[in-house]
Amino acid sequence: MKKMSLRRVAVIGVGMSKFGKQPEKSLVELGTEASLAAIKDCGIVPKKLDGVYCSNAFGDTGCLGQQIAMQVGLVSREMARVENACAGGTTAVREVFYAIATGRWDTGMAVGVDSMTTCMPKGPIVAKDIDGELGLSMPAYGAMQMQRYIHKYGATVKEFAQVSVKNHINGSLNPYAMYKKVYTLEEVLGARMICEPLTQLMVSPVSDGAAAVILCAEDKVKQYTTKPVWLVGTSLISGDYTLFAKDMDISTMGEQASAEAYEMAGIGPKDIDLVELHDAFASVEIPNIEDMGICKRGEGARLLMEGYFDLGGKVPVNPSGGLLAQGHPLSASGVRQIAEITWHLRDQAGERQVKGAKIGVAHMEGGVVSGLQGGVCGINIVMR
Amino acid sequence: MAKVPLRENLFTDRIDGNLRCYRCKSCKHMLPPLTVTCQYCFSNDLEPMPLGKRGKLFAFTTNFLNSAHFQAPFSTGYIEFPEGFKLFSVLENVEGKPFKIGMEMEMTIQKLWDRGEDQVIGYKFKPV
Repeated sequence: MKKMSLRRVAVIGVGMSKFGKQPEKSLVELGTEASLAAIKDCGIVPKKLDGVYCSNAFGDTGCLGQQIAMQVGLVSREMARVENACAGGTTAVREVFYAIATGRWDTGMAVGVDSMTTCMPKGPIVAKDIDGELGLSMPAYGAMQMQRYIHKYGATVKEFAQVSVKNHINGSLNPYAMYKKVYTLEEVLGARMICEPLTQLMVSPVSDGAAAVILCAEDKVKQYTTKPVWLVGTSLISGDYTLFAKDMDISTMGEQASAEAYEMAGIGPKDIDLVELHDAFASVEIPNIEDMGICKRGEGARLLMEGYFDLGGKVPVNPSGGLLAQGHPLSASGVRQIAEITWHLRDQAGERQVKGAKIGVAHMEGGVVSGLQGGVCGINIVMR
Repeated sequence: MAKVPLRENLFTDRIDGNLRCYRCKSCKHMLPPLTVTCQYCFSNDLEPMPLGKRGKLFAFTTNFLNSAHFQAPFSTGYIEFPEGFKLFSVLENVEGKPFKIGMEMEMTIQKLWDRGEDQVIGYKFKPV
């Protein structure tokens, strides 16, 4: 990618709506709840914002960003809606980052919102996709990724079920989590089968919710906070042809996105204090950790069982509870991860606080498109 | 009822024969069905070829949720071909031959579902 001179960009305000099944709330109501929380968090006067990127995958309305912004007192600005499968929120944050880093804006807001109970289409997520028509679903793909990992490395389903156990423990400590219940390994393995061997407790729930973050250029940041955290790395990579896939459990776009974001931030995987990653299925957390270079290929399952990725472990992964416990309103999740990491870096994460956290990495990956290894992987890195 | 292919140009004889794959006339690489542009050299000069009916099972799952066209439980998976690519397919069970990674699979062309007055013709794979 072309190198350019960039301004430093701070995360100054973060907020979330409630996550859960709330079909009575519209997309605009959810987005407004999250936006008001982020505005309150940094105390900015909304008309000081130079623009809004709104991520939304399944909408029943146009100009969604404008509809949300007008509710909080912001009109006559640059606004657009973005869609990028599970990484829509990641993309919105990145667009606001570059609008500020390149000098077009001084401040801006990314808001991500989806209502999966009311807006998710029936049938393939990518309409008229041939594999989707033939019955390929996201959980089916996740199940086969797990199967390939088990086949190659001699792991078992138990290690993948433990991902769900761990993330539900974390979620039980998070007041924002959709599910705060702790489950045993036996309960996860014995839950209703969805796509063999993925059970219902290994699949992220259908959820409605929104998250918002407010970013600000370095030279304006003192107006809002004396303790900013900084968005120091960002990357977004689409999937390569399936023809060149190494295997189903290896995401080359995940490897590439991680490397690009680390380089931009000037860090390596050994510097990471916490990770919020795309655990839409318990089967993908371990492969994603390996894509990010946090451990070697085939080591993730063993390290997970040793507690390496637990709260209190060497690199806590999904301290929020991840998508499995926090919930996964598609386009909100990539924004919500920035809120979660910001709370840890500010030492505001309560019982689930990762002690002394300085660097957090947010990873989202998504989309199944026939002929491509995946839709997209996006990474954002936040540093204290 | 008319028989229509799942996609035009999917089979060598519209709704019969073999799956139609391609060889790039420029770089000679083999390419999967429905390819428009060579994924190796980006040439559009592609020669249609019949794809062999056999491949190996690369990954599979049994789905316990209905899809748009199939009632649960149904099995699906990826078939790996000697030509160097994989295809996603619905899988048919054969008694005494449980699915296993690496097992030999064979294609059959058959009706997948009805669409209005038409029968949609596609492919499935089953253990040899």
